[in-house]
Amino acid sequence: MRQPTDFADIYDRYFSRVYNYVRYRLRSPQAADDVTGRIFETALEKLGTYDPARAPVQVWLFAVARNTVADWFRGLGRREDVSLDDIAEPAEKEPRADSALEKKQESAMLLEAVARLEPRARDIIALKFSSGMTNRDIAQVTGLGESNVGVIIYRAVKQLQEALAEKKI
Amino acid sequence: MSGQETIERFNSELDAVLSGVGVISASDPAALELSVRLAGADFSGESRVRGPLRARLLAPRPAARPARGFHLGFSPVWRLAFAAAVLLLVLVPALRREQPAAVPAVPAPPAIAAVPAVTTPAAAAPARPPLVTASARQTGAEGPLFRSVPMGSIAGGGAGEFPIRTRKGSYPISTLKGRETKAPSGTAVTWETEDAVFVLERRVITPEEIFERKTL
Repeated sequence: MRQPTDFADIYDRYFSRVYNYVRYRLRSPQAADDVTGRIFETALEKLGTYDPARAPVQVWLFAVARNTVADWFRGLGRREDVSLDDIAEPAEKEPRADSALEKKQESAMLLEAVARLEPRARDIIALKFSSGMTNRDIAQVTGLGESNVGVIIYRAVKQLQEALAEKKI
Repeated sequence: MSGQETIERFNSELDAVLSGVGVISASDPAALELSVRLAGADFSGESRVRGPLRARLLAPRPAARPARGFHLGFSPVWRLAFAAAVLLLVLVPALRREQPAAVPAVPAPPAIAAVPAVTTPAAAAPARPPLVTASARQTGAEGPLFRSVPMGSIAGGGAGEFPIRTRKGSYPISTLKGRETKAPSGTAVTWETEDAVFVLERRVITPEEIFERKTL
């Protein structure tokens, strides 16, 4: 696969993935916008240091994203554990079509379920389902073993499955 | 199937589904279905910065200005200041070497024009000599500041004013008694004043008796 090294190309190709990763981690759309902006600012700043021979661009970009999210939590002086207040979605101001509303509810439900995972599992799930990276790439980004990543993903998916099936959320 | 095998199979099936290959018979269809929902969820439509952020980050940036220190480092002002500093460093030691030996700032001792004779109170009262407080330079005196006085002229008792001033006040030391005494070097005169007793003797002295010799 061709590796984009042009920043505009990287931005267009990975903005949605990075934003989704940040939403799985932060939940607040406003904070997600803020942190996503910081991620791409850092990526633009450090693009000259990126070496395509060392890692695919998405591995490099999501490493930047993880560090930026961690910095954001540190800056707020809080742990990554999400309170119920953080989970609450903002009220809708305008009526929406049924399909859009269903999609919105589906998204909110998934986000709420992921938010209840413990931080490491939430990070791995966010990487797996937003970045499109393989378990090996995720292991490279997180520093975990590849098999460990697989175990965390499986257990987290089962936990999400149970939570959604039992309608705990 | 062991737990590890279940996990490995699930992950391989998950990678296949996410890459679009598909799975014929999934070991855990519900978990895979949920995984597909998670992977398909796209929240980026909620972002309000996508367009503005792209425009901001990709906007052409103004050419970077040279660093301030670099710029001033070669300006005429800094070159002039540097030259002045170098000149000062070179000239100050040279000027110090060429300066003539400075005259010590210690004020000259007052010239004693005349050492009054110690007389009896009755005899000294009518003709008390004036105090000499002016320096030799002020008086314009040439030659030695001190002159030899015969021992006999200062010997004798009685009150008189010693021609020096105390550090505290302006009144002179008054002598109470003066008598000729014997010293190891010969004849001496002992004066008793209000505050102390002085022994004036005539003898040959060496510089070591007056000055402290120090080696640098």
